Amino acid sequence: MIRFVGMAAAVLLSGVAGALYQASRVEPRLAPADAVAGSPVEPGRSAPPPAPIDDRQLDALADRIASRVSARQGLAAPPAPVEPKAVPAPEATPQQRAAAGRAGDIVDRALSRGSLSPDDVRALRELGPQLQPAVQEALRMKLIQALNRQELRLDPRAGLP
Amino acid sequence: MKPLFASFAGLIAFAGIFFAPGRSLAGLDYGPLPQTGYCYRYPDSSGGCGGTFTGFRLDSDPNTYAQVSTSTWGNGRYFYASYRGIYVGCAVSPYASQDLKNQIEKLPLFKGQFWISFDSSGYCTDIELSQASYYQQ
Repeated sequence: MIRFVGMAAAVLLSGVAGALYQASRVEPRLAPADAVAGSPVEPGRSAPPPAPIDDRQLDALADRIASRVSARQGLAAPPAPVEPKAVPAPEATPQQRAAAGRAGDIVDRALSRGSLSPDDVRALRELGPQLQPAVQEALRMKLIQALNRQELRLDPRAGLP
Repeated sequence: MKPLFASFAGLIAFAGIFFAPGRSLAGLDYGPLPQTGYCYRYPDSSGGCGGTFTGFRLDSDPNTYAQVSTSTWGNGRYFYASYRGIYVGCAVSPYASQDLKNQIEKLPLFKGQFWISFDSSGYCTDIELSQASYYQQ
């Protein structure tokens, strides 16, 4: 059955190919020469010589072209990437400073021991809401960098805070 | 003209027989997805991990594991793993592309093969999630 369908498809395709071949052999009809538009010169008459352009006109033309090109380039160019403005973090409150100090001590003790215990992680999580995002980011990166230097081991049950 | 037509018809018949599929075959089938996991690191502390979470769990070293965490607080997108005595981890920088953030957020639910690499500062640099038709889904 599949072979029969394949044969039928081949016959159909060959017919289509033949029709396309015949169509491609038809010569294109050329437009008559007198139908070409845009020629202001009448047959049998020569065109008047163009008026000479002086330097001032040339300069003005060059300026116009330059301004148009620069305007187009300005439109085509993608907008310059906007650098994210660093939003200054609000000054830490005394509570935040105290929490940052305690969290820093926990991280330093863990690094000196070479392991971050589940108790450390729990304590850091509890301090987390009191820490500024930048402080938490810095402490987390300190732990990860120590991990990658093989100076710290995590307890998989607690992970990273 | 008649012999020409006959040869043309013969050619079509040959093409039909030659090009018709005799029997359809399925695509590549390499069987179940290989469940492996591995990590490596370079002396500058950059490196990477790849495989599946199941692969990490099935590793011969009982201390091998991989974990990914995402949190809405702070820079809470990070991955870490222990693989046969190597400890590695990385966080997606808060200034990283949205693409990278989207990728790590898909990772906790992902059961296919993943690949994650990180630089010497501990930031994740690339996260690839991959599914392939030639493994049983």
